[in-house]
Amino acid sequence: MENIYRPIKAKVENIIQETPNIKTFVLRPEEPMRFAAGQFMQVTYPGIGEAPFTPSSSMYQTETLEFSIMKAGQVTSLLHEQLKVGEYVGLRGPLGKGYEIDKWHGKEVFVVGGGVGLAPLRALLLALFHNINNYKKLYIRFGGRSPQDLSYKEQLKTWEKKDKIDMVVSVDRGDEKWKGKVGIVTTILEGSGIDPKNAVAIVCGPPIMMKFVTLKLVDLGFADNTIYLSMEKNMSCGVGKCFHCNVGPHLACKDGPVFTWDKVKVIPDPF
Amino acid sequence: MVGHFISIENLEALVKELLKTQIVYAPVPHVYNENTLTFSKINTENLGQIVLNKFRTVDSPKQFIYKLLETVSQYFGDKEYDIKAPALVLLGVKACDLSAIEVLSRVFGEGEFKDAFYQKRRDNLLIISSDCDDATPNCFCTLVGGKPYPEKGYDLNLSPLEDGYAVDIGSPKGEAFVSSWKKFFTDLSLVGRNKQEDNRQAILEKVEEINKEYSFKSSLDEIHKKSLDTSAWKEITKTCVECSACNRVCPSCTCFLLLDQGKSPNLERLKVWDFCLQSSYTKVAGGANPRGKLSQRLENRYECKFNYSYERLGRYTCVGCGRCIECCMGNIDMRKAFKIQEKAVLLGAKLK
Repeated sequence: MENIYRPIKAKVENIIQETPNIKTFVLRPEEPMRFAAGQFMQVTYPGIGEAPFTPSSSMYQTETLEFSIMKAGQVTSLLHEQLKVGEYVGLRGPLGKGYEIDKWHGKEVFVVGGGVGLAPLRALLLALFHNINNYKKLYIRFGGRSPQDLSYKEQLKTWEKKDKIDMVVSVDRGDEKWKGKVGIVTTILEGSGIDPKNAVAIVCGPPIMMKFVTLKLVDLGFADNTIYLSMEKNMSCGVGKCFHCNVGPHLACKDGPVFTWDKVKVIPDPF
Repeated sequence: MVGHFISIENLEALVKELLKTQIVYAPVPHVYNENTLTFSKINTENLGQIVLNKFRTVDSPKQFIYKLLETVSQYFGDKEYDIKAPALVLLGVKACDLSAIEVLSRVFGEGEFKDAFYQKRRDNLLIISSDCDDATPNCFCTLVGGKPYPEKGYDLNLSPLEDGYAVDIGSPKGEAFVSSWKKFFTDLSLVGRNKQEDNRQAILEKVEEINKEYSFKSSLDEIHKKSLDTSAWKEITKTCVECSACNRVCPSCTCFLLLDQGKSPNLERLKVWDFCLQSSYTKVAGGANPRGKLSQRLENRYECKFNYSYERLGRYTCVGCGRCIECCMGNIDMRKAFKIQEKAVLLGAKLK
């Protein structure tokens, strides 16, 4: 029987500083690891521990995987401070279920992200761009604390110019160079012209932002089962055994990490 | 043949025989308190102290199949980890614990990912269970759909009769065991099952009598569904001190944590029991904690056992052993908690 707790060795090929506290790690696993957008993996800092991350690279890029990681806890601090190009980490996965992107054909897709929540959404957007004609239109609404806290700045500029894309980026606090919107992400959700009756919304960001964006989307007329939320909980095993990540009767690692609002709203304190 | 019979003398002789080649654990009275039983490793000296029937042990048999702490990976090399799990014979397991083992087997052994560590230990276990003929004041198996005597989940079950036991076979492993130790067993039809049935009826009535004040108008899953987020949880949690003893003694709690340690190249990953009542259990690195309040965590524990499990596995994962009542220094009694929940549901309280 295969050992479900064993990490696979992955070489660090590159490290990109995205923002003061987010780095993208480009990893080359020794065994092939294919994933679907929305699935996650456990990244091991050897001898210290694991933490779950959704790759931020395209599912169509198969040799290497990219993880954009914010410095927050023990594992992520070591990844940021100690890990060097050429060294090794461990990977377990892919785990969980991917986004149901095939169910969204012919619809408008409203993608809302905040902070490091842009990382899994980049993987999702790259998957959607790959077959863009399957979708009516993509609306992208990203928020960050300040201009320097926005990841993928160069990429965002190229996305903005693509067909069928309506993108607005806002920051809580601007600076002298910032020409975009200022305000928390909930303030840029209105007036898009999207038809919630033929649309889905995908949300990823800090818990507090997820909560208010969800309430706003409901207010805008999105049905509960069309709002997809990334419930990234304190996770340990990632394979549905340890129960750390339970969201009511569901396990974020096995049944998620993406849940629609109708599944989550009946649970006390989902965020 | 209606079944097998083993005399008291033959059972002792059989265990003696087993001890030559096998590791055997069985309930033995605790050295400081003869009214409590603990699983002990049997040898020729304590063989005579085995208490096969009575009621469940203080410690659950979970310890033999799901270790408090074990190494599950030495990182990159071990695709098939060499799991050290010697064959064990467990004697005197009670119905509640068999039910809990079923929960463990479903959590660890079902689904896309299977836990090889649990599976190997479970496969290497021979379970010889036995009927209860007594109950502790905290036993409540009858409230959660159980009975104080085994009906499934065993390899062999022993029900006390005059001078011996009725032996029921519950698995091919049990069948093979009886045929390889044939000389110790005789035909049950010579003595009959009447006493087994009488005993079972008597102990069932005793457990029902102990729990007679705890009858509920709706099922426990319904009560739990409706009591979500009510004022009941604040009241139930009043005396909880977050010690997590209930988590630790529970035969069906499965939560664990993976912990890594060592310095390259000597690295290892440990799987350690973890406890949902602890505040760190759900806290994320960013600082948010979806169950920051103790009442939310205790609520989640109950919902996990009676509501979420019902949705996930189609059964309660509480088996009514009452160990959590016995060990609670805050005197929290699940059965009384159900009453408080029922009351809150009836009042329609939605306070926090």
